[in-house]
Amino acid sequence: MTIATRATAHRTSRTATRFVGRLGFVVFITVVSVFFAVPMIWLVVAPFDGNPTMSVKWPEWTLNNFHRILDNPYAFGSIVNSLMISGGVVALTVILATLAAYALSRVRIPGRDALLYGLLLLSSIVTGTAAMVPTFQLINALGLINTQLGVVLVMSGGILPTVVFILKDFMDSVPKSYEESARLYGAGPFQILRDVVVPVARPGIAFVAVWSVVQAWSNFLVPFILLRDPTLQPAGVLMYTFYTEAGQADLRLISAFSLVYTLPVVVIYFLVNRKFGFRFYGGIKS
Amino acid sequence: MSDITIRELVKQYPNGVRGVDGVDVDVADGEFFALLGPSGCGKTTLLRSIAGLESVTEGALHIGVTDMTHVEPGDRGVAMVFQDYALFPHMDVSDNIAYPLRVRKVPKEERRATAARTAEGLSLGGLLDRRPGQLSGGQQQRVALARAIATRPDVLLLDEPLSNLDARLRLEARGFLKQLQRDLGVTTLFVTHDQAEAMALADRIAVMKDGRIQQIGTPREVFHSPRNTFVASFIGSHPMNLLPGRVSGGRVEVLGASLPAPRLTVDVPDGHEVVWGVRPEFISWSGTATPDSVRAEVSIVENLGATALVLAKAGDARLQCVVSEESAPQVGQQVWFACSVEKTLLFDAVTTDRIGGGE
Repeated sequence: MTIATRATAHRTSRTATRFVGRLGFVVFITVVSVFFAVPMIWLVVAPFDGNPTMSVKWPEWTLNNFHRILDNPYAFGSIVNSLMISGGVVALTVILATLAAYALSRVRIPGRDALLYGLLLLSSIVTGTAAMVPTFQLINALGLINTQLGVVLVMSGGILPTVVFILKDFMDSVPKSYEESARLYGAGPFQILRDVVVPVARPGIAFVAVWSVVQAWSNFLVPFILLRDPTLQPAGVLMYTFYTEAGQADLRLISAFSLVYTLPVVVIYFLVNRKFGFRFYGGIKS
Repeated sequence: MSDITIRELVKQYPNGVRGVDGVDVDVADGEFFALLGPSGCGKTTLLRSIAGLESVTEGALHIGVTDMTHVEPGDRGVAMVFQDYALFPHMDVSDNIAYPLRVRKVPKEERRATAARTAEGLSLGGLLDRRPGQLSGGQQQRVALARAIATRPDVLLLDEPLSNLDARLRLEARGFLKQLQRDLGVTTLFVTHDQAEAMALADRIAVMKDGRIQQIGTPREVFHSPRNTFVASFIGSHPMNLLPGRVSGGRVEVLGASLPAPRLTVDVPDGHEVVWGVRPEFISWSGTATPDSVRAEVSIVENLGATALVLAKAGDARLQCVVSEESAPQVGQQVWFACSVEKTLLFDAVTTDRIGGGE
């Protein structure tokens, strides 16, 4: 073999290796995409299927499933409950977290970071399954069992540490000179927070607000345990009661209701995104 | 009257470091006053103490006749322009300028009118609706100035007012600042690490080092009669030549030569160790030996446009002099440097204080 042919052979084998690698990559990406896409497709298609099953298939087009939702006495109320609970959680977390994050960002206290990490770690346990019994007892002792206030408090408690943690980062990136400047003109701490810090940290606040909505909206465990009365239950818990007379999961009702349940969050996301624009950074480049 | 009187001011940090260490300063009403020093010398801390952004550990601060030592920043009648301008990015120029008035609950129409008037005065007329992010550095600075003066403060503080501008804009802004200060007649203190800026702008300069004032004087005083070697080397666009020598019979032995000594302000014995200082601008050179001159060999010639900086070696010591570009010597040439005795300064070698020369 001459050097030239050897070089050609080498080039050919390299091209072949590259083709196989490329093919493998495409196959891998396809499998992953399908894995994530199938539930989404089911969510969009199954509600319009006269006879939905657990698999994705071409539907027998109908709107009957949505009529059945309207027949369910608790369906509409549960969406309203979900909105109220999420709204309460967002209001409480955003207000408290903004104040706490600002204070933690500006005041030097020893062990501040350890405190934040500790809270972050504990919060995932406190409202998690492990702490459900003591949480139940606590809310019971407070007389808040079977109230939405109890649910809002427990959920907010679980969300707050993470939100404070994220917001503190945004507040850290607001230059101190902004506040000092406002202070020199005679503005007090709350005025500075309102006029300067909150507007500058607004992308961060918008982000944690949406994140809190999503967390509260999708939380099943807390309302499931703390609410007994079906007229108070949010949509996520109500869905758990959708069975046919035969005792099987009523897929027609569940699929349609799932879609209805998803829409408000998507709408909120787009509204907030349009109004504030998600910019996943804190401060302003000057 | 808004003169500033600072007495024995100390700012000690919790870790025991004294940012400002016993400072006395008097700034006259309407004066343009510079705090000059290298970074970390406490000049910004002093400025922030005057603003009330730093609490004072010891000492007293009066503005006019009012004791302001422990008064809230907003109640001092002091406005400040920060180094990064601290313009609020979410407000337009008009709202930024009017923000101090908003804090004071001035009605909206009046606020807008004042903002428009102030902006007009600083040639920002067409920019009222812009956000700070859409302005150039020079415009941002003028907005920050407009916001500071919109409230008609008694005292205006500027923290490194020109450092965020590029070189050409800096010269322009310098002239603008000086004109503005003169027009307003407001007592103004500014902080800078750039001696040229301080010399160009200020009526008087306080040179600081390690939290202490080294010298307070007019630009002419600090340039021609520096109180110690630190001030001598810090002031001037080219550092002063400072070389060890000793006093001997009314003359100074330096660089192996005997040069005439300036008039001494304290009596020192013969053989006293001194530092001989003369500015590069006041040294002349000659190709032949002249009386009272120092022989040296030219090692580098830097062309500065109209002038040239000549670096020469005399034994182990190095000498600098600034000469006209046309008459610069050649590299490697043997030259004799001379300087007039009026421009020569002598400093004590131990205390570094000036003991001879100066105006």
